[in-house]
Amino acid sequence: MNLKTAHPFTALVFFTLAGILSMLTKDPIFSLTALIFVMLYSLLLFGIREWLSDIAFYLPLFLMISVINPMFSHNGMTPLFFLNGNPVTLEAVIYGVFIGVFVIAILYLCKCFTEIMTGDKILFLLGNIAPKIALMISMILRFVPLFKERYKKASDAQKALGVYSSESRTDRLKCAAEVFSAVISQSLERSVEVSASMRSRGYGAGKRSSYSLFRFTRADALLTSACILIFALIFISYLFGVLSFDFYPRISDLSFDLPHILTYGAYAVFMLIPVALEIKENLKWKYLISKI
Amino acid sequence: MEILNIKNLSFKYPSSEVNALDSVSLSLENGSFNLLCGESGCGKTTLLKMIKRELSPVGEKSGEVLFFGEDLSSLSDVKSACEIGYVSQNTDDAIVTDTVWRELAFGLENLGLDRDEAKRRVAETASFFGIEKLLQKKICELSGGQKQMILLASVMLMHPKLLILDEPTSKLDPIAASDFIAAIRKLNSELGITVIIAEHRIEELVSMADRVIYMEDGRIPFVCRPRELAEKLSRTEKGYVMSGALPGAVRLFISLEKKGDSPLTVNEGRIFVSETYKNSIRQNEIPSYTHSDTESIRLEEVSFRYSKNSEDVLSCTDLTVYKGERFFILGGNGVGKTTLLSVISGLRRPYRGKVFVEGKRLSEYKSNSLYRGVLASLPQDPYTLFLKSSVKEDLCALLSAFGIKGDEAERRINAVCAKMKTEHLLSRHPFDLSGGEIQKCALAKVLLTEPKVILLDEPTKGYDANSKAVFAEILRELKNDGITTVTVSHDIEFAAENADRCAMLFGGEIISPDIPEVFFSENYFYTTSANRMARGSYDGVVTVDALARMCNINGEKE
Amino acid sequence: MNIKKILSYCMLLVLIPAVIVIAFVAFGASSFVPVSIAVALISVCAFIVRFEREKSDIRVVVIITVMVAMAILGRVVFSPFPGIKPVSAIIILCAVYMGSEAGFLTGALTAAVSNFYFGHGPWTVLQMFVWGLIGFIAGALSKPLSKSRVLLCVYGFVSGAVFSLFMDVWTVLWMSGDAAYEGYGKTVMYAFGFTALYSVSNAVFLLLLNKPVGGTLKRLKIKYGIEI
Repeated sequence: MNLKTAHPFTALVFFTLAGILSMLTKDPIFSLTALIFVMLYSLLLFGIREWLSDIAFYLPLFLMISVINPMFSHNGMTPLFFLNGNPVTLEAVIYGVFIGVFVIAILYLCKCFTEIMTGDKILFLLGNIAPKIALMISMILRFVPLFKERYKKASDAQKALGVYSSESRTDRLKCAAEVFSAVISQSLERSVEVSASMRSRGYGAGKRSSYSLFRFTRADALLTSACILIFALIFISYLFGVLSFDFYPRISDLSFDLPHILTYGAYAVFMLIPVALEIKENLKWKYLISKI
Repeated sequence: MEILNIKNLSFKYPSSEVNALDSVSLSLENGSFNLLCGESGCGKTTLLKMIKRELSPVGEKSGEVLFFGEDLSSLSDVKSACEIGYVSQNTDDAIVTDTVWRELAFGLENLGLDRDEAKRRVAETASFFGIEKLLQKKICELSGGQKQMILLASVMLMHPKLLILDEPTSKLDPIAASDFIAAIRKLNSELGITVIIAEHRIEELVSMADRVIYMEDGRIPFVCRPRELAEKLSRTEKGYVMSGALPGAVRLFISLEKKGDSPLTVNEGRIFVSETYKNSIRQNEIPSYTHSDTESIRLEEVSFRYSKNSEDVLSCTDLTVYKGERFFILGGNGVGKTTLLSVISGLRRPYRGKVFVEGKRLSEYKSNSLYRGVLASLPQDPYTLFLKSSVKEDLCALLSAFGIKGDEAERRINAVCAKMKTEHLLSRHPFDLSGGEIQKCALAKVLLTEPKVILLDEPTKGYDANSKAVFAEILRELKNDGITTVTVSHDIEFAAENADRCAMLFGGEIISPDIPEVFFSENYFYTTSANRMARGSYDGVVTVDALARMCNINGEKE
Repeated sequence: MNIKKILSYCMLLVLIPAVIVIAFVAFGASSFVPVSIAVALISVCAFIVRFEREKSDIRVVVIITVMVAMAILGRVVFSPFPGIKPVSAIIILCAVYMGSEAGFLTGALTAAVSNFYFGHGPWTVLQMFVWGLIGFIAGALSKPLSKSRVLLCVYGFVSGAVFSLFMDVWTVLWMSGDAAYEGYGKTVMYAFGFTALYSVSNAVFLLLLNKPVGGTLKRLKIKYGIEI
């Protein structure tokens, strides 16, 4: 099992807890750990090519974030040099780098979340608590490709009538706007048939239940409880102030006593979970293939 | 036992003066297979919707509909939803959710079924319909035939006792339509589901139906056994037009003005011909055909594929169509007929080869000069041509894009509409028009661009015999005006009757263009029912009319 | 208008901005991001719970889903034209003709589902909330907005500007901690051209779509007796 094949609830628990943990503290070791593991995970998830192209996008963003902070923020005790009469401080520079790491780690986490939590899984989770909204989302997901096809056909037909020239940009925009508005009106007119079809199949006749293909397995239970347990450990040490860290007015010292090491370790284990599962799964299939 | 009893049902739409249904009485036996036929607009859909409570239109109604002796309006919501299933032709508007399994579960969730029960029902239904492999798919990845099958399965999951089908195969290609009809037949014969189906394409249905219900102007003039249909139809005037949609064997029977029970299948027709008629004159005279010398469309070694790594849809194909010809391109599903048209119309560019239209290469037509006065296309779904809220507005918008306004525009629109006989439709909303009507309007719109060549994509799909006859007439008129038409179609019967030349698209190539008499008689499988019925008796016969003529020339056996 | 409705208006229009402002003043700019997410999350959830409880007309539900799907498609179709998006216009039209609740749902669902395609993040909840709010207010103002095209355009322009500004500022704050607090002005200036184009395109789309789409919605409401 990996996060992709796990029950949606398990994946949701992991991502929610990971999200909370990543925003919990300003401890740089924490953010760095998150970034390393999340990058590793996305490498496994998306493959080397997409991973590299992602870096080409995130690296400039990272640099930008790191530079902007010291330019605007003049807090901190240790001025490095003056820019337009304002001090650029060491603390602000380091804080900029930290924010960069922090934001990029969250962006990576979001990317993995979008990949793992497909529409199907979100619909399942919603189906139990908000069945009406879940049904609506499912209908929207059905309509988007359908309307896209309608739009494509109508726009091809307009093109072949010679109304708009394909070389002029304004003509293309005009054509897009006109066809788009026509497709909305048509689809609205036809929506009445959709609701008739829903009623003719018993919508609103009784209380709706929700049914899905997902199964909560023993492995899911194990994984979910492991995530919650580790989260609880880290949270307790957070409550005891182990993870308090400040950049201003002066950067706190990093300490590596036992509580710190334990907390960092626990966080590393937590972030390692999806990575380890992914590697295990890959190895298993390799092994199976060599046996078959 | 009686499952449905309609007593003196009349119905009038609020916007209309005349009754859509006029004291209709009908009773259906439990477990029977009923075919409802009649011209477009005769009230079939209205009747079917009156049987399904949730879909019943609003209007003035009198008479009653009894389901197992109980009035339709007094059924409980759940019973009404479950026991009467309805499958319409507009799959796209009937499917609600995004994935196949969720669509199947939709009805069960509405009933509030628990997980295990739902799972079992989905499993057994999926295996009955052979759609297990589709369960995980998204609806948008399915073909038209698969979507229709999913819709049928999702209705059958509710375990209905009566299944109502309104032209379920009108948007499908022949293979998918046969599969669908086979599934309906299985439901009827193996599970005893009562079926009432309205359909234009009734060749296969006629031989499997227990009864045929014939509708005309909101009334039911007669209900009969399929074999009696030929005789009964030939007695009514409108029925005679309708008979164009009947199986070849029945049409032959009507053409020969025979009385009594008619043959239904091709094989019965073949036996009927060989046992009843002499065949001393075997060869049908092949009419001579001369085409103009001017080339209208020429393709030279054209190859096309959608992306670098996909397979060729067109591979090194040649084609020449002459001026004023009615050229038909036939071929199975997904062989690239529509792609071929979009290559000719310049919407897609081939990666190799040259396309000439009216003597000029496509690339020589700058901007959209190709579409103004040279070439026009009629897409498979003619509704896509219309964007405005009335036909007239749409036509005016097209002309004003060409810089034609005021009286001149008015004059041109009137001229074109007079030709297409669509004057009375100008003020209507395009979406309120029937398939035949919208097609005429679409052709009118296309003709406003004054094209020399028109490309038509499946123009007869889902049409009743009458609309087809009208359309055939339009094709003839266009030919008289010197306009070249290239039609791609599945409808081999229509092609045999109306093509100057036909060709087949197969393996990315256009094969053996020839006149229909030669093209079809050389084919073994891919040919008209008349040709198959004549096999062994006569040669070179491809249409029912020609076959009837041969029979009459030869005379009956002693 | 009944008491419940007035209360819910107060909640959305007064209470929520108040909470954010108070948090801003009391805890400084750094609290802006978590507080805004929390507020958005709570109000979106509250709205959904209310919607799930009440019985709604199935036809309205389908109309909302159609509008949302078109709004999402609009993001795709107009992607060759940066800054020109019909999304807000569709949300506003749906709200004006189908009511506040429909407006909020259209906005919130558009944000939620379009991020299935464009990627989720903490911004999903926020977009849901802001677009939802734009729809909700448009629904509340439906009487004047449906009468005057000028007002409709002004609303489209203002809401486009507010949405764009809010999301930009939020993103900058999120990405640079408390620092850019001082750099507000500059970010706003940077984004000005884009924001202006976005707001103008909103107004233009409203003008363009009001007749066909608004007309269709009005007709459907009359034809099928849909009551809001």
